[in-house]
Amino acid sequence: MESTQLVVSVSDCIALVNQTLDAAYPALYVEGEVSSFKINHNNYVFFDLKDAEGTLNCFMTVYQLRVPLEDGMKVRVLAVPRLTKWGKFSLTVKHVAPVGEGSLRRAYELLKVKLTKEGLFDEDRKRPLPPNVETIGVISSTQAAGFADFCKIVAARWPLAHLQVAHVRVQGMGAADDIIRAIEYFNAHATPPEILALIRGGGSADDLAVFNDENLVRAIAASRVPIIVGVGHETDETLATLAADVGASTPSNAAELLAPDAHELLQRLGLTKKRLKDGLHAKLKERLQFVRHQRQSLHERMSAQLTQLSAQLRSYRQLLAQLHPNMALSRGYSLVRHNKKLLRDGRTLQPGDQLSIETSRAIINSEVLHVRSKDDQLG
Amino acid sequence: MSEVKTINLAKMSFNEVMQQFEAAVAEFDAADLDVEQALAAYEKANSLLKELEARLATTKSKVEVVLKASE
Repeated sequence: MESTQLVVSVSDCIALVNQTLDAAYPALYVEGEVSSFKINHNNYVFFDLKDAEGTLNCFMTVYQLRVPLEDGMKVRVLAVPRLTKWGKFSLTVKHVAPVGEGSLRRAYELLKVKLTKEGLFDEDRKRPLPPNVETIGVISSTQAAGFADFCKIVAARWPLAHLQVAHVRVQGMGAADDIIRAIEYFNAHATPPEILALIRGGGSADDLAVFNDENLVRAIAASRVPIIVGVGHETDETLATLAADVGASTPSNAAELLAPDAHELLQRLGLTKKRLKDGLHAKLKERLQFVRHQRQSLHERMSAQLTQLSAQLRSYRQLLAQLHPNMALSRGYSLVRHNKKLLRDGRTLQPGDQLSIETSRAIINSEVLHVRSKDDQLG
Repeated sequence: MSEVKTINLAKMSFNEVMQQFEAAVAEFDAADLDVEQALAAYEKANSLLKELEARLATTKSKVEVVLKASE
């Protein structure tokens, strides 16, 4: 009888129990309060999950811990029940999230302090929005109301926008990883969008808890492509919003911030067009006036010179007139010619030579009677 | 030949055209009394402006889902 009974080793027994547990509860969501929270060697996280009636040991790796935990915090874990090789029952936790407003708030504050110290929210890390964007990587759920608002406003304001959408879950377990993958996807592109927009409409604090996930906040801060985050309502503040290059208050606000108003731009361009046209006319007018002024001044300089020249000419003319032989004749001098040549000396003249004497009014032909040298007379 | 004709506007992004336009406006403003320079800058700015206006008038925004996370 005994030989038909199943006998297994301790290890096999543990394995058997674990197989049974795996089949019955591949994953369990368990809610409770954290106690005895500790991190060993910076690698492993241990805590107890308890309620008024009982306590469960929990184990997870530091990498899986995406929100800060502390004793007293109410959390929901996604876990696999396990019998350890020491025969202890524990939950191997895959994911943990605070539940209830108090715990969410506390986790938020703890992580905010930690990441602020690391400088993730520093203003000098933030890049300005690129102007006149044409490619926008939108990370959102295409079913979300916030997404529809965002697209509608962008399309109405900015016709050049090309929205490349990464459809992701925006709440619940796995949402943070979806969003991180989408950020990485866009960043890995050879020509990534000019900006990423992480969009989600309003929701409960629990719904928005995804945006306080440490890994997601770090991925936002590390993105090569600038990120604008528009999550929830005006009053909601998430760590994702704080880590973004531009934190918008809502999806609609994000759309308004990143999409320029085409009508306004066209108006501005129109004004510049008018300014250039008027400016060109003014410049041409100015140039014309300059040319006119130059012509006028040239004209004035020319006439001044002409006046000066004609005065000079007049005085030359007067001088010349004084020098004309007629003037000498009118004063009583005569021109004496011999053989049609002006007689300047006369000492060689002989009696009987014919002379022509010109006065101012007559020409007298005469004959030499005798010639006496002035030198002789003076001598 | 004005500089605009040597630029392939079609290959430029809206922002690049905008930057060229702003540079042409600055060139125009700096031209002062040099009418030839002002005129060249004006013509350049005008062509770029037409391109900007045309793009805003003829383009329509589009939405394309490029990544779908498994749910």
